[in-house]
Amino acid sequence: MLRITDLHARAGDKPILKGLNLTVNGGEVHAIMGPNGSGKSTLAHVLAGRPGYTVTGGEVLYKESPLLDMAPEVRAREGVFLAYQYPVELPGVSNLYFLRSALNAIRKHRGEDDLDAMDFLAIAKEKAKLVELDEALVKRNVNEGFSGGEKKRNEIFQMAVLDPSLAILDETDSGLDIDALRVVASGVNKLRSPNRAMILVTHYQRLLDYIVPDFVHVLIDGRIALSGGKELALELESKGYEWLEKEPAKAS
Amino acid sequence: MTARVATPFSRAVEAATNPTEAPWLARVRRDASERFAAAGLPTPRLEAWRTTPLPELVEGMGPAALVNDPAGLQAMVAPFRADGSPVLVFVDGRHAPSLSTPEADWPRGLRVCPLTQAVVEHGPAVESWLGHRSVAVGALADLNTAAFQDGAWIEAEDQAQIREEVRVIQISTACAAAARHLRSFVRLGRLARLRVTIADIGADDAAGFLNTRTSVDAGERSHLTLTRVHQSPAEVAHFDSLDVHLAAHSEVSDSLLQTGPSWTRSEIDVDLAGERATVDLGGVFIARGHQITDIHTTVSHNAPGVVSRQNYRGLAAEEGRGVFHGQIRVAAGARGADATQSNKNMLLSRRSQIHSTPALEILTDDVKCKHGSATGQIDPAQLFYLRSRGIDVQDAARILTRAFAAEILSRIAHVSTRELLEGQIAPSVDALEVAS
Repeated sequence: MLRITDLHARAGDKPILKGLNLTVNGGEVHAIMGPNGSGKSTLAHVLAGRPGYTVTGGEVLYKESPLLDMAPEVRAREGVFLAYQYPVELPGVSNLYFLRSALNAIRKHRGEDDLDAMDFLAIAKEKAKLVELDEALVKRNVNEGFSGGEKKRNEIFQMAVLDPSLAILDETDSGLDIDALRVVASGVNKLRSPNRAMILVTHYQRLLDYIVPDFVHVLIDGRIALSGGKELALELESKGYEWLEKEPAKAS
Repeated sequence: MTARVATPFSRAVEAATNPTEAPWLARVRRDASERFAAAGLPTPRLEAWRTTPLPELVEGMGPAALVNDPAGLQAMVAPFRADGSPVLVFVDGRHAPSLSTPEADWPRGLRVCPLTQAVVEHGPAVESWLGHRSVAVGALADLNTAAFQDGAWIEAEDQAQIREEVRVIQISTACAAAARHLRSFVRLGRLARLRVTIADIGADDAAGFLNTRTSVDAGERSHLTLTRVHQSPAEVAHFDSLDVHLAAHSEVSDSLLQTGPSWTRSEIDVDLAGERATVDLGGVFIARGHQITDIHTTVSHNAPGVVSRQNYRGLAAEEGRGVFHGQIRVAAGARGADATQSNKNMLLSRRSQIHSTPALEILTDDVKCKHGSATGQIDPAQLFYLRSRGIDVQDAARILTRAFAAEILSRIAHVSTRELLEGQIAPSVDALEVAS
């Protein structure tokens, strides 16, 4: 699904990713953990194609094609989805209109017919249940006046509607209280499937109690310093990141 | 001297001089004509016209020739009648009875007719109005008084609660450079309630000049919802002036969609004359190509406890220029007045421009006054959010500009009116070129 080889990237002038390697297969859930500033969010943004980042070396293959050559909208149509740490408010743009435009852009890319408003509404209603998103919020303007938890739920709702092959969840747990976290995590779990890979970017182990990953990677200073199974997250929870920052990279 | 400056409109003024017209009206016209000739056409040397030069006007513009295109005109009027609203239609400045709702079918409590008919039927009432409201406010307004061909006379009786919306449609048709002058009045008696939409539209190949002037008089505790669309064809320069007089406890709102492709300037002059009167102004203006579009407001707070709200949004693309000038005046006697003004603008290209100027003149301490102006570009974070969901750049930009304008559309509470006008302005919003 995704193969990242020796990826180097800058945010503005500052080198952030310094030779990152990562392979993600269909159906797998990978957690990327690491201290602040290690490059977790940069990785998420570079994969989504956000302006402001410059890739200075390495390669990213997505479904065997060079991902970095694609415009952001093309990546999305090919099935890459970023759940934002800070979802953007779009005053004056209704959630339904926004998502229908997005879904129809994806369908067009696949050679499928547009969905009309009624067909789309049926899909939206069904998917909204997945994250217990109030129907009123589904119809409101995108994220406008939403609470932090509602915004995160709206991200997962979008993910459910757009049905991506590769979902990157950037700090989806940040700013959520425990109840909201449980709802969001349960929505994500329902979207796990053999055809879909997920990358969870998170600072804390807490999220991984609810979404149990197949692999855990620790990102230190722009590189994967350590990879392991789900138990690695627990180890990090008790030991912190400091011991790793002093050690050379290794795999366990 | 005076003859030279008046040249583009000399035929229009002559044509309006009708020997059978009432002597008082002939006098009003003559006075206005003299004031116009003395002042001449506004030039950028006048402060209020510095950023809004008039386009070049063809010499000797007169009234348009009569058109004979019933099908084309019907098609233009049809969307406005679709929800059953009564309409009063003018074509190139002349009343078009065959396109208008027959007089007998207008709702009770309401008198709607062409101004020329009102002059004959209610002479004294019209005289006091026209005379009173013809005090010089500017050369083009004087020109309007001197040259008006017709216009709408709309009067709601005391306590009349009119459920239907009155729609006035002013059409410019395909013809060589013509001058069209329309003068309208909207009067609400005590406690009356009324909705009026005035739309200026036309055939794509129309050319010349359109000068429209509307006076509103809101009686005590009356309530008027005014919606206006300025969408004249590209070659019809449009000057519009609206003056609003509010009696005690009356409420007037005006939503202006100035989205057409032509040179357009709107002047809005509000006199909050009665205690606790409230005016709520809002609008969106769009400039594209080499177009200039301008909204000038003057809101005068002249009584205790009066309230004004202003919310204008501008969009400029390509080499378009938008102008918003908002003047707030608070008289010494307007204790407790409450005024807010907001102007937000979006520039869609490097060479587009918006001139936004608030002007305050406050003569009392007991006043709440807030104003803000901001001009920016499409927010890159919003643009990327849309793209990252699969929507291409142009569509994403279109969604965001439409949303920016939608804030003003959302002022229009009446659903069928909002949908009608959304449909009217959608093509011009969607056609906005966004430079990447």
